[in-house]
Parts: sequence; structure tokens; C-alpha cells
Amino acid sequence: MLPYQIIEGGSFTGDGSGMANIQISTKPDLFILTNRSDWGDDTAQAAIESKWKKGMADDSALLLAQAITTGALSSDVLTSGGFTFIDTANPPSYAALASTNVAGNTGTFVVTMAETGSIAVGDYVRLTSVVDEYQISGYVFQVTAVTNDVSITLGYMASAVSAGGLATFAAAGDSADVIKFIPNKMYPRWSYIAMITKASQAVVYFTAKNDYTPGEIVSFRVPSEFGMDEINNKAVRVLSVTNSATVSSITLDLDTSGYTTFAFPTSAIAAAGVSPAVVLPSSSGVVPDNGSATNAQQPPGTNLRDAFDNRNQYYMHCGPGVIPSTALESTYDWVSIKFDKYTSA
Amino acid sequence: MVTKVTEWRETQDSLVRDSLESSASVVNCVGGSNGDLPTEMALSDTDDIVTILQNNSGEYITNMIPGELKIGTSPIGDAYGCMLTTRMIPVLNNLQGFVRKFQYPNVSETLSTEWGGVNNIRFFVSEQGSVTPNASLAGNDIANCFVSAKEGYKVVWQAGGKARFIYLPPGYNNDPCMLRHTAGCSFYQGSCITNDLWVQNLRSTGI
Repeated sequence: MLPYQIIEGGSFTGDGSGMANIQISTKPDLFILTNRSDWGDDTAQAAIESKWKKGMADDSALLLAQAITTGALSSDVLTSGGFTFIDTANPPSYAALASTNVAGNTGTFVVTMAETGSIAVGDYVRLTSVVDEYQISGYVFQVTAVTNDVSITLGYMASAVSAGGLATFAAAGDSADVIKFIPNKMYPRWSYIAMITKASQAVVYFTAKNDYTPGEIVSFRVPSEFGMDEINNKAVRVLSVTNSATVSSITLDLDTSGYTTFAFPTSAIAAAGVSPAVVLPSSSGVVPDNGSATNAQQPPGTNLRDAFDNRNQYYMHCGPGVIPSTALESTYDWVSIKFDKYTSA
Repeated sequence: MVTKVTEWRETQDSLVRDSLESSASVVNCVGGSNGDLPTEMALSDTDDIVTILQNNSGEYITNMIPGELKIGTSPIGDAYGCMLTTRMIPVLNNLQGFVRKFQYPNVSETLSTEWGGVNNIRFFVSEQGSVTPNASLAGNDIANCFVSAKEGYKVVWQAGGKARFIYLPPGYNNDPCMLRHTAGCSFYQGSCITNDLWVQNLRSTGI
């Protein structure tokens, strides 16, 4: 495209999540979002049209709202819940938010927060300075539930306890910092291990959704502080993969029945200095011919889905201020524009 | 497409950096004294990494630089290569036994980016080096220092895909009045770790 063109546009239907990520090819100077379904309708809408232009802060927007019955428009300025341009290779940073409790001792991994900021389901967060739960300080988690300005839930970690049998921690995290971030999308990536079961086909649970595919060979780095160090440096075939709303796991072609039980080190041991237990993408393996829960039976073949790939992208994040969750199934039109020439005031 | 020649080269570097960051083994520095996790890099951490790579049959990349009768110089052992951010320079300078490049007995086979070495690792710094922000136990930035053995990772350029600088004079691309010219670079490359045992991400704070 050239800089003086309308770059691109499109439409989509709101899913009621109160957000949308629209993939675009470059950073626009002007981005306009219009609610086509409710345009001219007598239905009240908090945002019938909204826009973001260069120079405006992240998460902000200018918007027009539509009054009920009269259809009269009113203008508003959003300082949060608006538009944020995201380059996943050079993402924006977010301020740390305070937590007063991390429930690793009960296994729910509910993180109590008086302010949850812009954290939404599916977002990645990093917990730091988790007092009395230093074993997960610096770890990355994906959020599975949010109660606005009350708590977030680290459901993938919780499933390692409920489904994987991970021992709960000795004490709750008394305080912590929660930092939202956008991960780089080089694929596949290494993952933090939440739990490894002792079984004839071991199941590995992760703290966030994983990138692995059936047939792929993964490699383990498990320090002795985590117990099951027999698996350290082993390269193992993945038989099946689960990436549901609350469970992220892989089943391995490895019998760990006789191994030492996997468990996180105590908070004190972690604070004294350990390396995390992680899984790495190791190499491409032949897809199993006997099938699995997520991979239908087929002749053995080369696994192409595990190929290293740069999946970084540009997208415009549209927040709840411009796509209210109440506007479920509304159709939106968007247009992304670069200025040919721009003269600021 | 990147817009400047310098950006294109930096993009090539950052793509390889991101590839290493995505799939290298993770080892925290624990030998430092700053109370964080990872700690700042210490001699014991670099020795641990050398031990890991030796245990994994990783070959050295550079040969020994033997001692010579030159005042203020010190020999350098066979070495693995460590690629890291320039923000680590103060940490490197404080490493016990660290030998700056200008203290090598012979600098004929060094790179301009080389900062120095200690025991069996030589360090190459770049402002493009990998940093994970706010990621330590205490929420400080972590430097991802990639220590590689020989042939630990590779970069592949597909035939015909080498970098090209593309200049178009006015009159191209819907420019009937010949008002605008454009310039850009394009290339395609692939990079990956060839043996996950041979590339270690030694994570350090103190930057």
C-alpha cells in the first residue's frame, strides 16, 4: 500500500465479549469503527461510531453515542476502553497492578485485586514479588476469568491442581504485582510447566495455552528443586494436545510412573535461587499413526504444524468502550487510513 | 517491508533474537548477590553454563587465544559465544576474572561487537539484545543472554530471498502526477535452534 491510501477495511460481528482484535497490515493514522446494525435505529448505543487518530493515547477514543428513541447523537471522549494499536513484536507495556492475595494455597489461584485495569479473559499476566509464593514469582499465566476490580483467575494453573494433582502451596501469596503483557508470537514457544503427572503416558500441564502439536518432539528442563528431574533434558513425542478454556496440557509418549513426584519448590527455596521448569519445542516428529483425542487416525506423516514460524502481527485492539458487550451480534464496519499529509494544530 | 536499510539489518537481527528467545533453554543466574531471581550474572553462573554445554557435547565456537609476553593481557580459553544486550555491559565488567577485549593477547580474530570474555565464554553485545521487561521475581528487567555452542542455531535464506533495497521513482503506484517516490527493503529468512541442548538462555538481572 502507499501512505496516502485508505489502507484497508472490513466488517465483523460483535461476540458479546466487549472487545475485538482486528488484524491490520500497518499502523494507521486514523481508525474508524461504525456500528452498522444500530445506525439510525432507535436503540440506545453507547458507541455508534468511534475513532482513533495519530497522537491520541493508547486505549483512548473519540466516540458518538446514540440516545434511545430520538436517535440523537452525543459526543464523548474515552481515556480507557478505546483503541490500542498492538505490534506483537514490540508491544506496549502496562503498569503493574497490586494484588492482596494469591490463592495458591487453596489451589484456585484466584488473584484478589482492587483494580483489575484492562485485564480481560485470555490476557497474559506475569506475577512478581509474590510474598510467600515466590515459587511462581516471575511466572507467566493466562487469565481465565475476571471479576471487575475484584479478582482474576489463573485457571490453567488451577487445573494443574484439580486435574493434574499438583500439591497446593503452603501459604497464600500475601501481596504481589500483576503485570499484563502481550507475548511475542514467534512459534512455537517454550512454556512454564505447572505439573507433570506420574503415568504410563504422562500429562504435562501449563500455566497458559501451549503451542505444541501431536507428533512434535518437546524437550524438558526440570531442575531438581521441582522433584521430577528424571525427565530433565529428555526429548519426548507429544501424543495429544488440550487447549481448552481452562486446561492447557499435552500427553506424552513417556512413562513417568516410576519418577519422583513433580512439585514446586517452597517459597523460601525459590527465593534462594532456582531456574523454572519449562518445556521447549525440540524438533519435528512424525505424526503418530494411531491417532489421538485431537488427531484422527492417519498414515504416519511429517508434522508441518510444528514448524518454526514468525506469527507476529499488527492489530487494533478495540476495547469495551467502543464495542460494548451489550451490543451482542451488532455488525461493525471498520476502516484504517494513512494520511498523505498531516499538519498538526 | 522495512523502510530504511538500517532498519532492515536490525530487523534481521531482531528476528533471530526473537527466535532464540522463543525456544532456547532457560537458566536463571543464581550466583549473584542482588537478592533478585535471577540474580545478576556471576562467574559461577557462566561456569555452570559451560558445564551444561560440555555435558551436552556442545563444541566450542572459537579457539583459545594463548598468552603472550604483552603487559596487561590475559589468555582466553576455547569459548562458546554469548549474545546479549548492551545493558549488560556493567554486569560483565564486574564479573570476577572478566577479560576485556583490549586485554586479549591477540585481537586479530575478534568482532567489533565483542566486549570480552571469561573462562570459556566470549560475549558479544548489541543494543538489539533480548530483554524481558519486569519479569524477575522482584519485577525487574531480565537480560536474556544466549550462550550458544557451535551450530546450535541456524539462519536460512531461501534462494532469491536475500535482502533487496527497492527504490521506485515518482510515477509508480497510482502516482499519475509523479509526485512521490518510495524506498524499502524486503527479504525473507528462516531461523531456528538446531539442537535445543546447545543454546542456553542465561537470564540475568542487574541491568
